[in-house]
Amino acid sequence: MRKMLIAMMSGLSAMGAWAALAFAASHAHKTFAGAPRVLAASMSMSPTSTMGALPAPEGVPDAGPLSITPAIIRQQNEDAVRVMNEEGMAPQVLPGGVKRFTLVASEVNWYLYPGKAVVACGYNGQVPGPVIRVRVGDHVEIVLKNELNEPTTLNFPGLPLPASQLGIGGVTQRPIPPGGEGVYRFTVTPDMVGTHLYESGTDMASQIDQGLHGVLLVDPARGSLYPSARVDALYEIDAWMVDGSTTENAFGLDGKPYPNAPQLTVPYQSRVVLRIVNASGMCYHAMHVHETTFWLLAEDGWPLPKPRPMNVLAIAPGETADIEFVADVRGDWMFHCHILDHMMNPDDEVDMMGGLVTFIHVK
Amino acid sequence: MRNQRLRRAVWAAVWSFVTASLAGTAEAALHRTDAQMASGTASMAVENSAAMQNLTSDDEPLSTPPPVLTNAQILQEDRDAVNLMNEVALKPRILPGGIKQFTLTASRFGWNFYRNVNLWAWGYNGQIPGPLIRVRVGDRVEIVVHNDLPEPTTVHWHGLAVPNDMDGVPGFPEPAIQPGGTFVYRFTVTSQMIGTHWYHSHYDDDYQVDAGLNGVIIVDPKTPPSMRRVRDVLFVLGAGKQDGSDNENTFLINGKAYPNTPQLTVKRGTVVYMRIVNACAETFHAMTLDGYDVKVVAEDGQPQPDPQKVSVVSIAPSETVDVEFTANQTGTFPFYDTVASSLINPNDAVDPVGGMMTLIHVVP
Repeated sequence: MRKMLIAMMSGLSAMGAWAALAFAASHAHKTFAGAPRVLAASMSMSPTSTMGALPAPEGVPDAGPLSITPAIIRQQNEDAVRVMNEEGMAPQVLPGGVKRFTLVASEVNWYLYPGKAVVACGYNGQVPGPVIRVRVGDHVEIVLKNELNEPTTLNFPGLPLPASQLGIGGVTQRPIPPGGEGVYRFTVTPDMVGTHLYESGTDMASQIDQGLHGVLLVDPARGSLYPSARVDALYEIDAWMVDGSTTENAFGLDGKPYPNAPQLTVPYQSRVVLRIVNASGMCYHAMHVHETTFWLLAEDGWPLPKPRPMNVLAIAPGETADIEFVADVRGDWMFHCHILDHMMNPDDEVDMMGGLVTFIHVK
Repeated sequence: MRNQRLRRAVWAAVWSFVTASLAGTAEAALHRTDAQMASGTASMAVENSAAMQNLTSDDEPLSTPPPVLTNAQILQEDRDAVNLMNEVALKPRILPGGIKQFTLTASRFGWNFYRNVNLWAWGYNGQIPGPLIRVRVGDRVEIVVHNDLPEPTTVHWHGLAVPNDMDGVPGFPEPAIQPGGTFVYRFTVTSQMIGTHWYHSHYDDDYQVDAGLNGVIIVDPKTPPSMRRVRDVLFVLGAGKQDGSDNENTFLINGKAYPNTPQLTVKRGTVVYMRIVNACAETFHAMTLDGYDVKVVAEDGQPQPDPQKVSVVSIAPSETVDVEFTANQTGTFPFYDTVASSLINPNDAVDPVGGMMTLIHVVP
């Protein structure tokens, strides 16, 4: 809060910045860095204001310190916990039993880490979008309403859908214009069971990392996919391009970089399944769980004929992986990407750790 | 944390100024990048001036000339790299009660990476990577870590399910080891720990791991299988950042870049069991042995249920892969990263190829 005030002061007057610098020496560099950010926020264009093809991927601009309140941060963190807990959004059930899920793509002020709020794009006001959870046999209708300033579509990488439902904008489908809406219809077949990703299929190099992605979980016709697991949790890896970068330089779990990434508490000696989804538009990741050896059960929803033991999971953009372990050491286990510059927040000197870091608490 | 970064930024800025204006040579420290990360932003000028003031009362030197190493020192380094390849392990002290005590001292020292390129690095016991630690199931182990670095550090035992307070994550629950401080890591070796693993700093880790604070720990079963007809060797892939690069640009095997990497000579017919550890902080690698396919026997120390034959071993940062092949054709075979950006030595105009490559000689 103190920093925000200082940043506002310095934004109002350069003299203010230097005065603040003189009096708050320990935050001096931070203060100065804050000043152009405030100005930039008021002048910047929204990430979706440019139509057509872009020469370089476009990241997310700063939203400015006044765009976010503690209540909004709390709400966003609660949404992240719901994603981690795999709580699916409630569908509207149409006559004939069709399950209709409505996704509204729009801009949203998103809090990333201390000192950084951005203008992101989200589905239903959150990043990742709400978990869509369906069962084999379901007739599904996903309505995408486009409230962005640019065209978009929805794509389900790897899901065996009819050609008409693939949603690559300008390639397999005419993009949905701003203000328009599109509908994706399919019947859930047994070969769709497992962990999948949904994301923007238009201007992917920009839109995915602006926040247009979410997870689609497909359960078997009856029961759950991993009935013996006491804990079944979801970590979606997301990437951001902040501070004008054209490469990914901030990373989060379920939408939130550490220290806001949701943390998981599991009972001692319980079997835990983690579903890991790489929704980064560009980066591979290497996810490591401390204090255990885990087993890779499934990739992209397909179960492995023989689960493979490991402690680091290499995962490409668009891939999903289900892993399993027994929480047999009590304590706080770190779960993080082992690409070590993915576990830092840019320009954030407050927390030593950031980005793709969270903890699994075994109680 | 912030002070460390500032200090580093200043070191890098001052040193690159000194080198640029006086000698025009490469930056003399591996991985001093923070200045470049911030360069061009308005905040940098203030960071520098703020830190300059701090430095007037700081006992750190303002700049550091490149390390001068004697031929004897460089020969010793090369021997260390070969010994590591041959899995010569650090000798423990046996304490009363049979506890095996190993001592690791983290410090800053000069290191020869290749040719005439000497840089300042951070490492354990004066070597990069740190010494091999080899234990077996049932051992009670004590690892005494002294911190002679200018910033805090910890050691994480990657892949080993040690008690939570021995895991080396700063603050969860043990605090980091302060400069001048010591911490004793204690655990009993369980069967979960069998295989090829590694240890590394978990404090300021993107910097410290590539500065050289990494090493390998191999855990054997209680009764190790007979390796009489098998040549068991270790190659640790490493990386660093020279010239203030933001990305890794110096690539190593056992602490050395080609042509200074340790080379392996085996007799035809030998079964070679090769342990590959990716100790790089940031980059994936794809190791290939020209002339041979290899069988992937274990990943992250875990025997694979269905070992596959591959010609390229893809290995993510922090992964370990054990592969096996029978050396049934004679000749010299390059073992190298197919990611071609890893085959260049910065500031080396002599060698047509460098970095993450070595040679395996199969003799009759």
